[in-house]
This record gives sequence, C-alpha cells and structure tokens, in this order.
Amino acid sequence: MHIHRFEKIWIGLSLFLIAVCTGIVIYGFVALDLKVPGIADSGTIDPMNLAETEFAQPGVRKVGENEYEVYMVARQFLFLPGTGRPLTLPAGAEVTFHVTSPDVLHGIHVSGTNLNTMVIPGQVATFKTVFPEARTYGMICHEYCGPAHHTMEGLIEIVPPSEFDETTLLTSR
Amino acid sequence: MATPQESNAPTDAPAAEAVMSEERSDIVREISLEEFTPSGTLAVTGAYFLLLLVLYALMYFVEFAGNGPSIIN
Repeated sequence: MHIHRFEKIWIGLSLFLIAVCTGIVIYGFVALDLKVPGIADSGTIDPMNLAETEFAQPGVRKVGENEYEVYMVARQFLFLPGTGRPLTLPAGAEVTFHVTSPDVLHGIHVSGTNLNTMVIPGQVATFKTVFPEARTYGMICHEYCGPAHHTMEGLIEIVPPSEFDETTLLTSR
Repeated sequence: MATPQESNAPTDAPAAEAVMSEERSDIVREISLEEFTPSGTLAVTGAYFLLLLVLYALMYFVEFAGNGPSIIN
C-alpha cells in the first residue's frame, strides 16, 4: 500500500503523542511518587460489625517516629473523626488513612488536594500522604450517599509538629 | 465537488469510468500523489499537535502534580 509521506508524518506523530502521554503518567508514578488509593491487603471486613475491627475506635494512632495511622469511618452523614471536631495531624508526618463505611457507598475528597478515594462498605480504602504545611483542609463526601449527602463534610487540621497534642492519640489495639 | 456531468451520469460502472477519464477543461496541471504537498494542512496539524503536547504537560505537571498533597503510597 502506498502511503503519502505527509500521512506517514501524521501517523508517526500520533504514535509519538500516545507514547508521550503514557510516558508522563509512568514518570509521575515512578519519579514523582504520585500513586493511587488501594484497598487493604487484609481483605474485606464485615461492615455490619465494625466493633470487631480497628474501626471500633476511629481516630489517630502513632505507629512510628513520624508515622501515623488514621482509622476513619464514613457514615451517613459524617466522617469520624473529622465532622464536628477536626481531625488533627502534625505537619510533615507520614500519614496512612484507612477508611471504611458501615452503611452505604461514600467518598472522601480532601478539597484542593489530590487526596481522593471511594469508601465502599466492607472494604478498607487505604492511602498514604504527607501534609507538608500547617493549615486546615476541608473534606467532603463525593459519592451520593443519601438525602443529606450535601451536608457530609469534615475538617483536617494540620498543626506544626511542636503543637501536636499526642494525648489525643489512641493507643494501639 | 461533483460537476453537473458527474451527477447526471448513470451509475453503471463503464459509463461512470467514461465520465471520469473524460478530459476536464478546468484542470490546469495534473500532479501525482507524491507531488501533492499540503504544507498549510501540515502546519496547522503541527501547531495543533504542539498545543496538545504543551497543554497535556501543563495539565499533568501544574494542575495535577502541583496540587499536593498527593497520595504517595
């Protein structure tokens, strides 16, 4: 088949564009450390019986020198912790979120950031991040979860490490 | 664009062929496929291609990667 040389250029550029877009995403994943949320390796949990799990006592636990774990329950129509009283964390620490739901599908999006995951009953959505500066972030539910979905919101308060009150931490189970 | 001759031509193949090969008075110069060089089209396509690359990079590196904190694991 005879192909005109201009058409060869266009075909080549199209393939190059696909390669560049794919390459940028791989570069972001590997070099910039931009990952996607996952689910816990421990498998599923019984959403009707969170009292038997780490989610019986939602809150922040210290797991290392500068590492914290947040166990958060998203339920109709609040984040626990987060709604009512802000979730407080120190700036610069590695924080791993574990989020689950006892009722229906929810979502969590920390406004103005790339922190975003679905929260599925029975599964534990897990992601790790670092909040570099002391400031307050809002978080919202972004999966329709019922008539008061639009009121489901919370706050994350990032404080300087020196001001972080460790007495609010939960003890490990 | 179809000339009146073409649009009035019967649809059976031999007759259509006859119309196509008939010398047209409005043809100034006949060139082969390789001699046809739509440089303007290439320039427009090239500019659009560059725009796509630049905007994709902007969207990814500024609007996405610059929108931290991000999920790191």
